Amino acid sequence: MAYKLTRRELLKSSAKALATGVVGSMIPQTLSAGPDQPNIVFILSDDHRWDHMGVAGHPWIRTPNLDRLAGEGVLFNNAFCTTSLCSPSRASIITGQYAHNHGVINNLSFWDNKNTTFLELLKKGGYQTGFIGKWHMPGPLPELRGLDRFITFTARTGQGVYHDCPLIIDGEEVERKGTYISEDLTDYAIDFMQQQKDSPFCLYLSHKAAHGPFITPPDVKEELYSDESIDHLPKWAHRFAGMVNGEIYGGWLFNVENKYKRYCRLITSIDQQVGRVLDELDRLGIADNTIVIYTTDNGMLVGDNGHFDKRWAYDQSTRLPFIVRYPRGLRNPGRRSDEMVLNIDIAPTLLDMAGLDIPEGMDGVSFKSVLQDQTRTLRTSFAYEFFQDFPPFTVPEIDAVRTREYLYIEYNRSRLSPELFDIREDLDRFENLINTPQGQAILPELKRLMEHYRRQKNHG
Amino acid sequence: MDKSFTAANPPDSIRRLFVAPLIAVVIWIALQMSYDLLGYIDNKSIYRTLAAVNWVLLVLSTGFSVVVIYPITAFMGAPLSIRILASYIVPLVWCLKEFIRVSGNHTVVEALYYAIFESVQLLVLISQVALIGGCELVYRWFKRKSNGSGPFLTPGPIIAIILSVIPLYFILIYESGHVFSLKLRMIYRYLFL
Repeated sequence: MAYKLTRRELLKSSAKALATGVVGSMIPQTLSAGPDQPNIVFILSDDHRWDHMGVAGHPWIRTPNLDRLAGEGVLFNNAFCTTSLCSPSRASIITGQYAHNHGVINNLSFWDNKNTTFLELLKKGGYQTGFIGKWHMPGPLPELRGLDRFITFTARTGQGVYHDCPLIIDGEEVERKGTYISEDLTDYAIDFMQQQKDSPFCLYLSHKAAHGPFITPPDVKEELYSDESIDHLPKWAHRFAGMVNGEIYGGWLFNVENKYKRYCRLITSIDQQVGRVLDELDRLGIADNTIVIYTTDNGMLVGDNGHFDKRWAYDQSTRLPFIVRYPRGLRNPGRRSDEMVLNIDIAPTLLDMAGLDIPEGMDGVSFKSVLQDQTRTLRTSFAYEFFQDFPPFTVPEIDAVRTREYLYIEYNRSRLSPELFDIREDLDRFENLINTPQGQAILPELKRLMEHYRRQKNHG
Repeated sequence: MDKSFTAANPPDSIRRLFVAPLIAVVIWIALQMSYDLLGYIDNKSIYRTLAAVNWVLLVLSTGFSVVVIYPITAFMGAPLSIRILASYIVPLVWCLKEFIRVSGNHTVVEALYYAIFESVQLLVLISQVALIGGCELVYRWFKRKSNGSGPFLTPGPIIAIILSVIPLYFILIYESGHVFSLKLRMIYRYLFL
């Protein structure tokens, strides 16, 4: 097996990445210009595993609208979150920072109102801004600066409920009898777009689905997928596998097949809501000048390496469905990109595309060049971090390095041994190479990278 | 049938009394080990079927071994304290196993908090009280049937059942257990973060 990540290559790619940053800042802002600033519709789902879309090759899940979005935009094959847990990842998306910088390190640590969000910066840049949907960060509701519309919920510690979820609309709680949350939020999103269509706007539409409990909307029938096979899932996904060794808290109780199909139905229901947003953009005649991004906070393990839920550093948990469409400013639509993009890149990219400055404090980089189909390498590796969480979720603290070829994981304060996987050969088999000749050959470079990222982490 | 636990033959009685819980623990350990060993089966459908069956047996063994252990120890003449202790052996061994597992990733105090107070553990530990109350009533019913005398409905077992059902309601049913779980998290946050 070829071993490619040599020191020379690493240095070369680091220089490349550096050059990308320097040269990138000198490129004229061709994608945006004053009054022609693009609208932004950012759609975030919850726990949507990257390969659970028709366009991503799932054997039977139906996602025609996401497939359409990918056909008209760029589908990123290598998009990742830097912490695969709801609150930290959401904070990373909205701030452009790693969890160790924005401070929301797990689902128990509070949001700091001093954090700057890209919505605040877009507002300063002349945008009308709306946050509609799941906030789900611990502590009291945030005092988000620069929002023209803020609709969210606090039920079940911010997880919300699928039916009749009370919404907090610009600070006032309103009962929502008889409604299904994804449709309700999309209704508000459409209303926001209709009101703001004449000025550049940024809509942040954040869904509860497809987070557990997997309760589907009335129009997605129980029969959907009921005859499909779950043979594509790893062998570990036996009927009660969601209830062993602490996995029980991930919500995969009792019949795994039943839960899995409900999960897939929820993804299809989210797809329907994406379709409604796309249709409305067409109807309003603003689709050409609107950037639509679809992604999620983290992936989902369904028996992979014996685990359910997320949190672990494996691709099934960290890799994201990630699609960007921008008819007016994107070159060669309908393509796939292998560039490595992260959730922390969303904020700087949107600011970049809006023609605004990217603050120094952001850890992510703009991937505007990828949308312009320029042959530049954004990065060749990234650091994954997972902090201590409430013990029912008995995943240890993790530091990991993901390169294009390898995933190296170290568990902190844990009895678990380090793991090393060749991603090219082994996405599903989880064969730890750490004590093999191949593993020993690559390990020093990966450890060096790990130390590099740790130094960055320790110095903020 | 009802052999008294007398001072005349304590070693023999004690041995007999602890045979049932010991066998239950051995069965539990065997099921735990077999579950792990099944992982070596490569055939997906065979593994899934066997693992699911093994899991059901493991859960029955963990949560419901009391319904076998309690009557056996009772009919062997064990006093109430010994019956209760024997009934708790398997759940406590399971809690110990969870403690060891979690202490691999968390501090000892956190692991202890998890191993005793987490919803599922509490569910099992508290439900044993209800099951013991139920088993005691069944035992009395059988005893009365064979001897024709003895108390049946006394406050003890009834109170035990009621007292355990109330917390079980909050752990399991009220707001789908979410409120209880949230309280545990808040206490955890206060104590450890």
